[in-house]
Amino acid sequence: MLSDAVADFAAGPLTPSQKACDVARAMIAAAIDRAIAHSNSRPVAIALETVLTLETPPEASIFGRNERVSAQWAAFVNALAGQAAIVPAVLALAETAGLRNTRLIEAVIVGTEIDLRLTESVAPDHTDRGWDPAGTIAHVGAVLGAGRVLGLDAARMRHALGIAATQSAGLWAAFGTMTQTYHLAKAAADGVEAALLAHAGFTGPAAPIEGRRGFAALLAGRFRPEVVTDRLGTVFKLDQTAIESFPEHPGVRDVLARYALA
Amino acid sequence: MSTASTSHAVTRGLAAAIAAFRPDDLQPRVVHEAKRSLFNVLAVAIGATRHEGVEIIAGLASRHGGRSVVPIVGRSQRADAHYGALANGFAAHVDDYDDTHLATVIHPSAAAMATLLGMLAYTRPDGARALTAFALGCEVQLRIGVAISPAHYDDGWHITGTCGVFGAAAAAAWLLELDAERTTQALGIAASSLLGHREGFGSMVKAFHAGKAAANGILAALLAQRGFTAPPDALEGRHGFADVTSHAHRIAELDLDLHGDFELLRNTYKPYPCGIVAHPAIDAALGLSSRVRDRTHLIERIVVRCHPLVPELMGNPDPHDGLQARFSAIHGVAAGICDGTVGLTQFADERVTRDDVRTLRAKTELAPDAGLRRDEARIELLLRDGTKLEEHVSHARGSLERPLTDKELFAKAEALVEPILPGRTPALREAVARLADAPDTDALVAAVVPGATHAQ
Repeated sequence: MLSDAVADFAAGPLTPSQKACDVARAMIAAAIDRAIAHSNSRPVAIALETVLTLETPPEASIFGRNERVSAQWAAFVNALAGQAAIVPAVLALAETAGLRNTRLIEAVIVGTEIDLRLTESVAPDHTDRGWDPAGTIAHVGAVLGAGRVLGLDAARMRHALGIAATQSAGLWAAFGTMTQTYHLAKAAADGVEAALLAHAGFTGPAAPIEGRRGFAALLAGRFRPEVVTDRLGTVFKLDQTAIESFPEHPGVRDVLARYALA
Repeated sequence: MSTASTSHAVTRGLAAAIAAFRPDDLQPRVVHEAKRSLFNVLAVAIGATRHEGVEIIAGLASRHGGRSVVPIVGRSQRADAHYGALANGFAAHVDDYDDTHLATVIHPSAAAMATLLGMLAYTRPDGARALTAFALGCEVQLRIGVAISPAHYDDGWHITGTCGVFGAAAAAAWLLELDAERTTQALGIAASSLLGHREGFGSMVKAFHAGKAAANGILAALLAQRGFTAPPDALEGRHGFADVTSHAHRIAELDLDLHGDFELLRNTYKPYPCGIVAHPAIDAALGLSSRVRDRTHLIERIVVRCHPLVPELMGNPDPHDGLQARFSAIHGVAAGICDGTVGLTQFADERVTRDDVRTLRAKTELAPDAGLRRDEARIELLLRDGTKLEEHVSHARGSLERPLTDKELFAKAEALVEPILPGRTPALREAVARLADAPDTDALVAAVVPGATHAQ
């Protein structure tokens, strides 16, 4: 079963290459950099103002700002600002749990690896139909990363995957509006929530990705499951990913230091 | 056939109709049905309040949630707007005992009720506004659902979640008194927050869809209130909701006149806590029960002639727990024959796994017959001595042709509410009945949580 293979990979022992770790670290730095750069933008201000009305406990930081909110909503705002889903979801939960360095790199790797594979497996039908992978597939990547931070076992990881996959949303119609970046924010927050729910015993379906009424059937016409499972855990797509270099915002190093990643 | 784009401004038109709506615009008939729907869904949610999934959500609410102002029905604990909406919407739907709009198979009240209670964190509506928001929350789901049915559900979408998000956004936006423009944005954000997949049936995810729809709708309205932008044509536009999630829709024909007939008038209430397509067969089983109940060991074979949707949606022949049993028409029939009644008890784990029903389930088969209506069924029961018994049901209890009476609805509510909040059912009925004239929602809230209630 494909969903089992994905859950086993996300929950199991991981032996990534140095290159994969470097890419993951660079992704973390880039997402923090963008989040700080956009921390005073209009959509971020609106999102943060909305989140603050809930008055959640101060579990995790909003990058570039002083406010602290629950992990779920920190992930929401940081994803909106950082234009990424997996990294903000992982960092928010890692901060809450006091996790640092390797565990966090691994979480970003498992989320990103499945995100990349799933994206390829449903291309081009998925986007042709009008779905935005930054909202849909990002839900899967975010929950696997979040679940890894929480240390979910394979069974709970599959439940978490099911709780998140059913929320895969994001329409091309939203392009050019603030809702476009909301897609990532929602994926990050829902990923954190799904991982927390599964951690506490909430259940999801057995085959959320490949099932007859599951993710692939509903959001793509043609689906190549072998792209997801082929040499999963031994060959990493991340190894073929270029590291983007950029002038880092001065605040990035401070944030990385908090996670022992500087 | 999908219409890729249209000049007809569906989303804007719907938003304008919502923003302009006033409590006085609700027809008396709609007020009556909205009250029946609200009473039913609150009773159902109270009955489910001790479900493990509600416990889990309530646990997250106390560890990670914010200011606790939203009541969780049936419990003394309160939650923030997000977790409150999640818990109440989940509880309302998890027993599959809530209302059903048959043409779309939407269960509209779960998300609408959860939105109304969740929004108490942000607004203090009087009773008339609360009831109107609930009715609008249901109606917007149903109107959109009608326009995308049946293709959307057939494609695999759980329509209670996908349309629930729009109803929730509409109700929340209306309670916040957003103008037409911002209501349009709320619906646009909602379109990018849709869930979920029918794959989740049989797990806690199914009921989660209703709760999360409410939470997402509230979030969409709160963001829109502050100027968050979204597409103005999210429902009807190219790569918008209808285009992407239904291979055949009539979204351009969406009925935007909220002064006309409400789809909510065609809402129905389940007499049995399981998928509605199995209800006519359960009626037939109950009809047979008194004749064979004391000699079920003599039953050779049971053939259930039913609409083809029954095996499609409720085809599990041998469920292993209560949740799976809710998708087993065969269990509903077997339990109905053994017990002579079908309520929550018949879907408890320990009842589902007992030998008598397991034996009877093994002797029962579904025989789909396209010549039968959805609210019709016929059971042929063969005894070992060759005796053949038959029971035919032309219209199931709780169907449009045979709606539950107010009295039957009260009896259903009593069975759900009394074990959780003893003696409370009459207060709940009164609070709902008087809601339209109430100065606030205090009496309603007091009726659904433990503690002293207002005098009746």
